[in-house]
Amino acid sequence: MSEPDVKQEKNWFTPFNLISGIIVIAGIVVTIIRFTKGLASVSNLSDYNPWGIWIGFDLMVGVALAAGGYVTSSAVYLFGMKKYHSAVRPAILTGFLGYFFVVIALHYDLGRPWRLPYPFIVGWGTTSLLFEVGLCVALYLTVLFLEFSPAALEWLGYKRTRNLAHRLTIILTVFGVVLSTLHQSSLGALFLAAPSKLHPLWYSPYLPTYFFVSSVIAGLSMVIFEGALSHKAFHHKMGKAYLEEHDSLAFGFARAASLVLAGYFTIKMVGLAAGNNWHLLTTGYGLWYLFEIIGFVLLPCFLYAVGVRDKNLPIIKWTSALAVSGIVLNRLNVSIIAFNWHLPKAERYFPSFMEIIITVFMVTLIVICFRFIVTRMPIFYEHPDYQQDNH
Amino acid sequence: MDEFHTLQEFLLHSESVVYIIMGLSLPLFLWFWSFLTGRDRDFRK
Repeated sequence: MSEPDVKQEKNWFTPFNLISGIIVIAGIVVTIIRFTKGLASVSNLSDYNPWGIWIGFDLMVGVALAAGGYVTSSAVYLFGMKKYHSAVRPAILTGFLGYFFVVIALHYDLGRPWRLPYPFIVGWGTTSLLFEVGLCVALYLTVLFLEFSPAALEWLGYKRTRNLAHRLTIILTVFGVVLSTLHQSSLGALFLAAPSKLHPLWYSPYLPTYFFVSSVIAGLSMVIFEGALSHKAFHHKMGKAYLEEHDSLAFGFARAASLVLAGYFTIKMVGLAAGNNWHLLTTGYGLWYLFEIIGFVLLPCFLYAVGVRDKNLPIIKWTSALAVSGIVLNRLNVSIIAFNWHLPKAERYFPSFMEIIITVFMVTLIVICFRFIVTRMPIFYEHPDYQQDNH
Repeated sequence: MDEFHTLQEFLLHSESVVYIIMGLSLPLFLWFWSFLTGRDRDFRK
């Protein structure tokens, strides 16, 4: 399959360009304010609430939704599901951009970007979970960059370097799974340090397991969701193999997601029983917890199963959006909504307008980069010079 | 809410419920798997 025809976009004033342009300008203005006038000038963060949506959404959600990279590459390269091969590059790209912008967003929260490597070169805080998270993110971002590099090198025409990078695929996939398992779970483990601050319905000694298992759901659902969106936006850039495998990929991943959701529901109930927190289900927070569990765990589990049984693709695509929303809700619940739940309302955190602008800015940058890359590099199609290598 | 006077009472109660949930989940998983794959043969035909 050769590269599909590229229609050069000549009109710059498209709705996408206008909206994203406005968001980027607003984001740059807030960025300048943040890094010149400090954290307090743009955020509602305080000593009570040191982690806001830049951590709760940009980092926690970003890392979870980037799990599609390790889920897809391990399915294809470690479990031998070669029929999903065409989904690896889009998933790796989504993961790479997700992680890259997680690190960028982290700078807004931390400040002093030049000090980011300090944990690795100045003081090794090996007893801190944050050190493990930082190390894993740094290493996994490097792994994702190397996994993504063959596509960029094919586009640039560096054959020898590309072949070298391609030979590292299996070892990088193994590294990716190990590092993802470690740091997806350690993001949950961070909250083990604050048992009195997190509501008992969300706090559990099993939080690391919850975060890891739900990241698999996020990865599987994100691949289906992103595939559905890409199908509409970049259909003209998709090769024959990708288009042929698309439906079976959605059914296969939906089946896996349905099973993992069922397992996730079971371990959530086990956690509830182990803490004997059933009586809390009738409180306001309990109803919110039930809303999350029934609406965003049980319902997508059932809908995925129905979609797979009936071979109904639209149900699966809509369910993937529901499951992705569920992961967003879960991470926001753990890190913001059910965190500091005992504080009076006046002390509770709500993001400022400028914090929200930065978050929207980050999401927009991911979309712009994704669009830039898939319209130029062989992501949804195979480069004609390397078709044999990919099978 | 149940009242527990010792850690042993609490663990006996909570772990019993955990074992019941896990015991129930095994046949439920088998049923769910058959529900999920129930029509595979029809589609293969």
